[in-house]
Amino acid sequence: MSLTQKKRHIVLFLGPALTLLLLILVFPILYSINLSLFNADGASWFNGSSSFIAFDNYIRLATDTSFLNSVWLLFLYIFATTAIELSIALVFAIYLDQVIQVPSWLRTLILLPMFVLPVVSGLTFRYIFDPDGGILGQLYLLFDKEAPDMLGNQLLAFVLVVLQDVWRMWPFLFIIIFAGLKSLPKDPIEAIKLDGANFFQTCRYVIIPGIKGTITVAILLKIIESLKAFTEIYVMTGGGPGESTTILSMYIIKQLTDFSEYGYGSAASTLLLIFGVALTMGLGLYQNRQKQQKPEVII
Amino acid sequence: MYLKILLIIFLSLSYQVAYSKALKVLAFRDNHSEAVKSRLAEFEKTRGVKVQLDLIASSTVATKIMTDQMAGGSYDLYTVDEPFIPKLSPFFLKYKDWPKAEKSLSSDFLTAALAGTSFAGSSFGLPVNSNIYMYVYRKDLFEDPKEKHNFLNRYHYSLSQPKNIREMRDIAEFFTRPPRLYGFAPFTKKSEGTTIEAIWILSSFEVKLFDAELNVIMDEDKARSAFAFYKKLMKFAPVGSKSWHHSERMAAYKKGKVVQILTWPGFLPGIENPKRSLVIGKSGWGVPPGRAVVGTWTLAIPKSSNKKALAADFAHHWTSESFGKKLVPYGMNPSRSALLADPELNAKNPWFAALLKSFEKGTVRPRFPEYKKVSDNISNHFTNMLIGNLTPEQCAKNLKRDLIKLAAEVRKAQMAKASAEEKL
Amino acid sequence: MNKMPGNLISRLCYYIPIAVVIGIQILPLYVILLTSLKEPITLLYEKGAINFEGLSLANYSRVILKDQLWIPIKTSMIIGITSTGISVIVGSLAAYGLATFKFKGSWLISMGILCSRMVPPVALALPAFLLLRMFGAVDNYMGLILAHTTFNLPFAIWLMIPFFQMLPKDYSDAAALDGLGAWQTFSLIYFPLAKPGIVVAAIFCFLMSWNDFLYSLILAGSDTRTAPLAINAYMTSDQIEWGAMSAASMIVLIPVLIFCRYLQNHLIGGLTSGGVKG
Repeated sequence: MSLTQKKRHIVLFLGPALTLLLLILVFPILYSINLSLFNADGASWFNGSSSFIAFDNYIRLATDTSFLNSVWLLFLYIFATTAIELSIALVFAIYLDQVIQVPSWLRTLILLPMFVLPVVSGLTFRYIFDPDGGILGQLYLLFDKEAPDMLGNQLLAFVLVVLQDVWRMWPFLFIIIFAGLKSLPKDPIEAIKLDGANFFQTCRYVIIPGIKGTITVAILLKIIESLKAFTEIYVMTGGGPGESTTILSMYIIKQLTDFSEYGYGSAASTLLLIFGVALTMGLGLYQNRQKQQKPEVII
Repeated sequence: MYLKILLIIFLSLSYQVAYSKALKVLAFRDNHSEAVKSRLAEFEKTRGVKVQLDLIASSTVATKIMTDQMAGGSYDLYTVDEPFIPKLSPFFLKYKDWPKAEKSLSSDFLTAALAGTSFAGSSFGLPVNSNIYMYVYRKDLFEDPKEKHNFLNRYHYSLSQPKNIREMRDIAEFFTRPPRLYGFAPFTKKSEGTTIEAIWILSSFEVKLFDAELNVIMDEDKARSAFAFYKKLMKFAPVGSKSWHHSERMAAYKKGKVVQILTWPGFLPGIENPKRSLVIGKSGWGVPPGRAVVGTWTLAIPKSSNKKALAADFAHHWTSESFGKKLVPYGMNPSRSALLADPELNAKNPWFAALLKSFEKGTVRPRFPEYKKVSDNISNHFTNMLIGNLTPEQCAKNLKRDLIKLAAEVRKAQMAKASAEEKL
Repeated sequence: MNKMPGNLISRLCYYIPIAVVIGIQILPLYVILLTSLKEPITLLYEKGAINFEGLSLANYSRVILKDQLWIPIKTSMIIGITSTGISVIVGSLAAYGLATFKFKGSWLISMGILCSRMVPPVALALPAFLLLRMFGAVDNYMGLILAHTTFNLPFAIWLMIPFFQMLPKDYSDAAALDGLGAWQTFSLIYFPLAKPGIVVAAIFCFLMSWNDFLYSLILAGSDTRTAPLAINAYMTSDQIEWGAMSAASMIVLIPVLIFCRYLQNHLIGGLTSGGVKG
């Protein structure tokens, strides 16, 4: 194939996608980064009077307790949900692979929450834990007692938000790990069993190391998803009592909708972007190094 | 085959064209505006034009008006919530400049309603849906002999509608019997409604925030007492009420869970709705204790509209006495005293008499150009106090500090504008 | 599988954790279902939310007939199908290109695609809101379709590349011998062969569009309310309408549930063939 012919092919196949992405993804992000260097807010953006203030927005963010709080909460949220979901998923995947077998329709039931819209999931959990007219409230009334206000407690609200995500997303990790388990070669497992290993030793020395790559993929995918978390928290607590469930994405949207602080919000969202890309790229490179494959292959 | 396609295209285009000539109205969504929407045909037939009435959540209207006007203005008529009139007034036509304006605004409109449409001496439209909080209580419980007896023994005065907030507190305490009955229902979700709640309690303690020249005259000590008082009232509220909006408050009352509430009259018909309420026929209404906040929406025509005459016609139609009579059953709060005094309507809405009286005692929200920032500050500190992040003392202190900052900013902007205009 | 003791009772014990887990997974869904089937006033009763009193279809008829839920559903469908269509078609081209042609910049482009996957929607919501306002494209379908494409397209490409990589190169050699151009090789041979992957990508893209709330919240107006927004709207009226909200939720879940069984098989298949192996 001649060079120009090959170039033509590349343009033909990759052109549309790249053009589209450039337009709807790259351009808005650049616009946002640009905006973060101005003190644009509702009034000044519309009448074009925002002034260039370089990194002042970022400096302001560094001392803004609400912002720092939202970043911390994001970290906490990602860590808590990933750790808990991974543990549960791992245990069950191994259980359903090694210990007992269940028909696939039963597995589908486990997966069901995964397909529930985040809106519905958030609202349902809010309904269940509502101490007034919700499920929790009425259960306590059966015993003539007042229900605890879990969604009104700053710590518990966060716990419930994590719980909601665990319910919905651990099956996601479960499927990935389960698929990985199914593709493990049987021989090493048989071998170690013949050597007299019990169940836990088998897991520890053969199975888990065997699916290390899968686990990394699962964690990576879960983190990408967690960075996007917004809807379920928004409808469940609206940011929580005070700001106890205002993770970074909610903070940014509040800057946009409640305060019309376009420049400031763009600065925060640029930081989120950098954080997100850095984190996932870091994990991606780590995984590539683990697999020792050419970087062209995308997981 | 092609003909069919052409026909479809033609029909959809003409549909689009028909709607582009429509009168576009932006309003807040509640029962009564939904009723207006379902009755658009009345107006459309007489004028031969379509009306597109977009209803959005009342808390989002001001922002939407701002962004719409900044983008050129796609609507011909807006409903504007009272506290935002100062800021948005530059976009609107003064009422006296309306096409076919009545020589003077009808004297039938309530004084408080007209005040709500005005800023700096001019009215910017017609008042619609004039509101003031009503006090609603469980008359059946208040008149129960056993309750009356117990109350008298405990508090040494008769159980009846509270004349001030201290009596309201006593009633709240008396009736709080968890887990099924409580004495108070707050409004605590961070939003405009919470600001109104805060202003209610502040005004009831005689605390005023600004004077006419936008100086901060808030008495920090009295404010602290006001906040502390509200916090104590929260002890008599159901669990989970730290983040309540109108919906939760009304649901609690309709379930029979709280014995007294302050609420907008628009919600009162819902209490007597057999499909939604368990306390039908058990309520009484009265003037709120303390000083309740008045609010009125204004139908305003933007200068950007090219259908001003049509918009004015529609606004007059909406606020007319005859149309109003049909809307009141759907929760419209009359801005005309004739409607409030109408015997037919009074029969169905027995609280109208109390409503008329309440208007005399009401107080208004701060007339401040950057009202949203003021409101945000108030509801921010107030809700933080309620969930325990701030003490009432800190709440008062922080609020005063922030208000002073805001006033300084506004004054600076005003001076900058004045000197810029001087230079021209 | 070979650890089962012969004793029936202890065998059953092994199934208890599964039953518990499935119970917990289903419980919230059961709650929505039950709540949706109750006469609204029943929910105000003391035990009304948790017993079986007052069962009726009132919520469903109200949501469908009075509130016209089919309008937001139609909107979500239009946006979902269009965005999915664009993403899958354009994406399959790109996926094929990246899988087939090795050239100097291809690694960079792949990395770029991967990075696009990592963009949190929030980061785009703000500029999207402002930009669309500038071009007056708010409150119409195009804005939302483009917004959804920002996450659908990278995802579709990412998902489909392994499917194209898996296909043998022999076909392209044979095609070249037959004198077929690159485009025909793709459209007549490889695209049909990669159909399973394409179908999976399409279903996922549609579901992600269907689920979207953030962009709808920021970009949609009254004419383009999507289904999730409509569900949330029941929480902001003068009544908290748990019953109506639940009914609307159940209706909106229907397409998802239709797809989920189909997806489960392909999900495992797609992921394992995509090189998930450790």
